[in-house]
Amino acid sequence: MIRENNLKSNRKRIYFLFFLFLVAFGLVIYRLISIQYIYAAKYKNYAEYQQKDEFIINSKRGKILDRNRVELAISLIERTVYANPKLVEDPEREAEILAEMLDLDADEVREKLENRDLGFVYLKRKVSAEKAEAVGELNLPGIYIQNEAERYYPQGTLAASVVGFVGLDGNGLSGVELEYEKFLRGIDGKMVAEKDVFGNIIPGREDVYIAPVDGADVILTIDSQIQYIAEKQLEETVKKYNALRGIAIVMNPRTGEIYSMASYPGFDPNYYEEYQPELYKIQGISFTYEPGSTFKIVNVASALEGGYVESDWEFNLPPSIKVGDKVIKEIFRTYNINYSVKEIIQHSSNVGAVTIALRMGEKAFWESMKKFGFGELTGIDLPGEERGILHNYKTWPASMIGALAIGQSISVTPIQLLRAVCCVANGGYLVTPRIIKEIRLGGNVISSLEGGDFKEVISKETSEKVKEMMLAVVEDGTGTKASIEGIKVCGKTGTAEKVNSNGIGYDEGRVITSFIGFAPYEDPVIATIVVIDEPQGSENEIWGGTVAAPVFREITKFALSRLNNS
Amino acid sequence: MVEFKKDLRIQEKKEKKLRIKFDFILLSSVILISLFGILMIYSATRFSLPGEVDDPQYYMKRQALFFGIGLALLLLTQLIDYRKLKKYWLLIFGVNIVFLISVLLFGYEVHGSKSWLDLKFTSVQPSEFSKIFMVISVAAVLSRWRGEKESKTGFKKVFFSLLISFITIILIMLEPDYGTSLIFFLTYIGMLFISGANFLYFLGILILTLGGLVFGFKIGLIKQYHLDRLLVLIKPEVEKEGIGYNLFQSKLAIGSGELWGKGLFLGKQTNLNYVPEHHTDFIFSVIGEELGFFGALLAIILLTIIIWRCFYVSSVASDRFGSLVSGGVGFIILSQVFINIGMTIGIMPIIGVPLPFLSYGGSNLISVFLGIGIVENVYARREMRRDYEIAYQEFY
Repeated sequence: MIRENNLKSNRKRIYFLFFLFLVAFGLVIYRLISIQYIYAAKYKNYAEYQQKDEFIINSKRGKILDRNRVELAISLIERTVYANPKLVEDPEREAEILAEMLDLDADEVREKLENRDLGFVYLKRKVSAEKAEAVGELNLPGIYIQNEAERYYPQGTLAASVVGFVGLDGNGLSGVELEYEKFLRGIDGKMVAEKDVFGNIIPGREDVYIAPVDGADVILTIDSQIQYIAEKQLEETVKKYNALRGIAIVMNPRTGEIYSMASYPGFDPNYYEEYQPELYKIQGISFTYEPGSTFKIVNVASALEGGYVESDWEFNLPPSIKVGDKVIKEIFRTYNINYSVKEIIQHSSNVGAVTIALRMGEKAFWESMKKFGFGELTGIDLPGEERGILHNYKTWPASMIGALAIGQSISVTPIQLLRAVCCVANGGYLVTPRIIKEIRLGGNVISSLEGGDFKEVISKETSEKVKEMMLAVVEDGTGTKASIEGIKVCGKTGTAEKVNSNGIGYDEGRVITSFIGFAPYEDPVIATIVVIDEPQGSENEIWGGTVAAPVFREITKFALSRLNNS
Repeated sequence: MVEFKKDLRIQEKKEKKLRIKFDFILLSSVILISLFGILMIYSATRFSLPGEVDDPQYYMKRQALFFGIGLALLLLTQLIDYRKLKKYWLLIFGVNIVFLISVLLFGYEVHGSKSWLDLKFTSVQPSEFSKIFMVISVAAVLSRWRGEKESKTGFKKVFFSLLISFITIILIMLEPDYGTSLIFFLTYIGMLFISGANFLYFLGILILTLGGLVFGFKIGLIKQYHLDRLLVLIKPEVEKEGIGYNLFQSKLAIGSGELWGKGLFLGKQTNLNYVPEHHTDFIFSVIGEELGFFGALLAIILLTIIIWRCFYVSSVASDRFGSLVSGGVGFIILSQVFINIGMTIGIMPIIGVPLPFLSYGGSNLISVFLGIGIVENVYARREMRRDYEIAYQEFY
């Protein structure tokens, strides 16, 4: 009986406990309702937020090619070995293996792998395909291989300033890479995907997938071989004369297509950060200088076109002439002489050029220079073009016209001057220089060379007259060193003293020698300008006819044979 | 005397008929929830497999095997009268202590607890089996101790039962496995309560425990981070990255399941590994996320039925030992269920306690099946005539 009672008491206690237990579970259920019903949206949103990630799928950047499809800039797949330290199981062992395979310091790798706060750490970039594959095959926990697109410039320094380069983020920073960024870059794709707690994307579980559109290929008008010869010639000459820089542009005078836009010294875009930013500039369109005697072509062409002189008109020229408060002298001549207009060009007479300009008058000369495009951008499809300086005639001091007649007090870029001379070569119209031949996207041409507006500057007759004068310069004048056997070459030398660094007067001994011309005389297909900045040497040796003309000859000769063969 | 023995034999014949008498409510609930668990383990591991495992069905298959072993043991143990356990309680307690000491000496650590013993062919967690062993030992001591009547819970019973519980709990705390220690403590208190012990004993144990905790903190057995875990309950937001991380992710999983769940196998919080240990301690988060409130409710209802049946068997048991053992098994399950589910929803601190029948793990599942086996055993023998039983026990 005692036992019966005892059991009954047990039962009461059991029921009491079961009741407590039901209360506790009631609390659990209440809590579940709170989490799964009342505040469910809050939890759900946060969960979805942390589970998803938006990824950019980089488009492949287009190539930059020369006119013959030689690759100047391409995107390579580069392999990077990286780690997710959170997933690394045995940092010491993995570090040892990786250090040996990738030539790294084992302790450094171990330190990286032990840093479990991070979900991503680079171990080595630019790993060869074989090594990357070998590492991948080991299947080490937490170690991954990533393929990254790396911009590579197979031709190195060739046409580097024109081609340009991209920054670390793959954006074009200079040259064609910058100017045609929107074509080259393509359109990045997008993916919204699930990621696990370690940040790994779960394949096949994409919510949104927008495929990237690869960038278009940009085909330049540049001919790599002409470019190479031009750069080589400039390098030799700059070194020989210990000059500051050399610039050469080779252009089709009729279409404005640029075959070569060369300068020296240059840089290697693969390692652009190792060079002075100054070298990134495209010298042919950004270097401004006083053209000196080469500008006499513009002077004479303007006067002929305006009917102020004729080629066979003769002038009695003293050794010096006073314009305003300045005296302009001949370089060698100390006596009076009779020169026709043609001979003025042929022998590059300063007094003759001033005499012609004075006949034109300030307004007509200025208007003509404007027509030739000075003081304006040429509109070339490259970034960083300078417009030079051509002051309005109304502001000119009295001596100004004399200075302009011989190419002083005006600052031009090589491309401006070459374009102006192309008017003489092509029968009188102004071309727009072009560096892009076409843009191709997946085999289709989406943009191609435009002709420009071909504005007439001088008549065909005038251009023929000037051409003849320029032919005489090379055949029997200051530019004989530019002559090419079997080909009639037209040209003009230039030797300009550089403006003093404080802007007042000129420095003797600091000169810019240049040569500008085209060939062949009968039907010009090549126009070339060569500018050598500050060549060093004895005064008699350093002028356009000796320093720049041979460079011009070599480049033009090669370019002509190259075009005949292709 | 002879007559008496003859009567006993008749009684034993009756008993044989009783052996197949199961509590089918309990048995079917146990089978159902175990199958439910196997399915959820598959869902939790098929996509993100922990450890060096390639087979997406690996954990599901293992759990199914454990379930098979557990069920077989449950049925096999019906052949043995549970009262024999009472006789051999000291041996059982001895085996328990040997197990727990050997895990401290030869065991290996998982998640900071030295709780695993490598038996070459398989690994076991002795503390899981220890739960059943301790329930048997405590029930035996509380139902009979020299000098005290079976029906009364006097000082000796309390003292010796407290002693064996204390030894077991200390050994488990040394691993250290605070979750299991807490389960043991709650189970012991529960068993003492249904044994009808005077309330003064509980007061005494409360004072002893509080003193022990303060002492434990002083000597460094209980550390600051244990207290921090309690803090997380009050301010879970401040600890999204630290110790509150598990709770925060678990709540995101359960909350994003809403009422009807995201669908089986579609729990992203768990598949993408945001919720850690989602096949073991946080299996309830998987249920909550994939099957929603109603799925979670189903699990809770099944578990409630099981616990109710344990207590029911405890209340109809033919003897005090059977009543205490059944109640003890009920407490083991109850405390684990409450702590485990409670920690996934932020009403209990995060301590590594598996969810019975649902969490992955062989030791836990087999041990709880052994417990259910004893409960069924008690149920099957509940109708033994008490006079004979009393006589039997007094005689031997």
